[in-house]
Amino acid sequence: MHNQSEIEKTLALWKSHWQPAKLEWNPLLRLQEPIWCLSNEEAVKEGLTGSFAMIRLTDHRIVINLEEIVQRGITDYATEVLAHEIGHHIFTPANLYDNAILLNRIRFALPGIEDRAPMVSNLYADFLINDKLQRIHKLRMSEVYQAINSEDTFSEFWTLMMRTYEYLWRLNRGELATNLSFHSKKIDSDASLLASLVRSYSKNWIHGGGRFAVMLYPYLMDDKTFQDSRKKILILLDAEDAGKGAMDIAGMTQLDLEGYDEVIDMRKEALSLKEEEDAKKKKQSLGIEKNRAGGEGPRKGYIGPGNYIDLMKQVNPNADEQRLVNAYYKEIALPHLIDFPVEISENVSLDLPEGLETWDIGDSIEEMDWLQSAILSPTLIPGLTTQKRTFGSDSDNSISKSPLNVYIGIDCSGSMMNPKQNFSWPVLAAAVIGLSALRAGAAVMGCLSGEPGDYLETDGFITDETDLLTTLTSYLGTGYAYGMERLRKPFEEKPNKKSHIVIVTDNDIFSMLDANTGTEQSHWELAEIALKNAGGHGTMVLHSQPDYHKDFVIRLEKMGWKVCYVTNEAELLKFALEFSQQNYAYV
Amino acid sequence: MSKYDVFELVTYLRKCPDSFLKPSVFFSKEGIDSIALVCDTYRITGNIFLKRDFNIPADASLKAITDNHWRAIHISAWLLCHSDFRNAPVIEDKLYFFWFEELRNASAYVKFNDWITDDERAEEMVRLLLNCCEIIPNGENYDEAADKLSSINSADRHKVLKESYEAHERIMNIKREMAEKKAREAANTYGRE
Repeated sequence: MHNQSEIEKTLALWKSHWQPAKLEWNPLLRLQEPIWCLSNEEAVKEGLTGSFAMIRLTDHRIVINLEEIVQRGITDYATEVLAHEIGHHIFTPANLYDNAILLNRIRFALPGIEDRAPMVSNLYADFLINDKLQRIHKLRMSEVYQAINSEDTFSEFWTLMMRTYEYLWRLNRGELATNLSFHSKKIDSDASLLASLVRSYSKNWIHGGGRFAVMLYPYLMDDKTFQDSRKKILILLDAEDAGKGAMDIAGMTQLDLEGYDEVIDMRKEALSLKEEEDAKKKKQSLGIEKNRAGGEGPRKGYIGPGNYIDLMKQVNPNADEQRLVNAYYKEIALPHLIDFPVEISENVSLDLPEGLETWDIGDSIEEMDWLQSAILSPTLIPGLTTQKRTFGSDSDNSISKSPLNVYIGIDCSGSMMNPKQNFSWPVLAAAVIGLSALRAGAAVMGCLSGEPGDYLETDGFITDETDLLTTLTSYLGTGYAYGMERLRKPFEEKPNKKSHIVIVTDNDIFSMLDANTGTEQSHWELAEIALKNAGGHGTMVLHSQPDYHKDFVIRLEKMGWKVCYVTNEAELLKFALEFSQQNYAYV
Repeated sequence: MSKYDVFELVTYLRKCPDSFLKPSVFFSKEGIDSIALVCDTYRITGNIFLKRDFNIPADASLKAITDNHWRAIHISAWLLCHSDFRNAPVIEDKLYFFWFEELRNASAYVKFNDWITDDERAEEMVRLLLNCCEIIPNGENYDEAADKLSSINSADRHKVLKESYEAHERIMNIKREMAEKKAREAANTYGRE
């Protein structure tokens, strides 16, 4: 523990530098004063470990650990450090969305070592901010590094970083990269390219992330080297967890094609003059090629769920995996949902007064109920004692359309893939039908079944989107088919409200229908009773070639089941769209 | 202003007028008379305006000079118009080596317009010239100047980049093959049924 008075003196000094630090960026900048932590314990409570400063994009705060600052001997660089942290808030990454985009692009460039992306992203942002502050604002960023670096800090990787600063700021060799034993021609060449990249992309920084990461790849690919290097520079990583605690960020499921195109090896670009013709022919196949198969899901336009989860967990290390899977399938399903149902009603009677609400500023003055307001309080305080009346209508329209509930059963046997790891068309189709039904006002029961083995179902027909998606996106991987027995609980007796039944499965369902139940009632009979009691349409979606098991199909059709064949998984989405439109779009 | 200040020279070089960027008359009828420009530059630096014979490559060698190399020579002629190089007879006999040896090597890797658009390449030309003329830049010692030139030398950089790029490419190819194999194995299980 350092002398408390020294820390408090530093606090006063740094507080006095807060305003000048803001002025370095913008005199109109409004940003809350940093959270000043006087001890390491306080810093840990704020989530700051390893470094002396950090930013939080979730609440736009900066956290400063003054004990660490005193310990590191950088008390004289208040403006530099504070201006740097402000730079993270207003320059790069600036907000959660851009932070996620940058991370995603850096991940493209680090195949197989995507876990390094937050560190690379942090260092890239540091370069952009520091270069601006040192060259344009004439702050002493190089001296901050000189104060922090020690002989032990250096590795090949950190030498590259410091050499890049030396190139950027035209410093002599060894001014920042003080450990000369790591210097090499290779590092010089790479540092020179990185310096030009930082300059070139200072205004469009999001487009330089891919190139930056490709340059760093060879220095980070070995696990041990990476861990060693990271440990040594942990003190400088102030924005790695900037998105911790963030809510869902929309728009991240789509494949970032622009980002893919920017994964370019600058070494190759630099070589291209000499080998211009070859380069033109090869069209910059720069070590990291695009996946020829494209993305996943509809129009192959989305990243895979596993990749999405990894990315979002890097954006927010506290993110809940199940919540992310739900968000992933929901976001892909959204464009395919039915429109929000609109009810057209004609007022055939007078409005009836129903109750009172608070009249607030912004409400129409005509709506104010003066009498009731005066009864509540003789003193009129808008928004507090002012009242307005609410009205209802006594519509005599006795005919109303009510959507049927829907039961969605999904085969989750061993032949299915885990929707958290691989894109699952059945789950997307179920999400489209389920969310459309919820939107139309129906209740949904979801059931995953892989039997004999296991099953997972919602607690009856529900209207909660999260519960439904959580069930649909879970995984069992047991048994060989959807268990017909699951229809017994909701449909053995006639439910209160009619329901459609949709079962997504494959040919193995016929083995299940024929299986010995050990009771007098066969699965065939159960299927017939369930459909009858449900009262709606029964649809069996089979991933199969048409006419396969034709006799069984005829038997199902005679019971009233509709059998839809899908020969490839993408057709499942088509089916879901048609089903949603037919059954829920009219409401 | 200090003499032979690298940053002052770089700033000057980057102001090179467009007329110096034209091709040589060897490549375009409307181009610059490169030989005349070279001779004039000899005269300016040596302050010997009556001299007619200068050190110029033989005809056969002139034909081997590429368009990119000629344009780099034109740009360097602008640099040599800087007051630091005027009336400096001591460098006159060093210029041949700079133009027709060092600049030829560098031009193989640098596009002519990069000499003025790219800060680092501009610095390289300045340092290359100073080095050829055995001039130590202001504020530096011999070792520092040599190190700075070496760290931005295009020919050296090209060689190192080629090696590291090829090594990187090999690693990425192996990784890609492994990833493709893994993807094939994880292909849709429905498809196998």
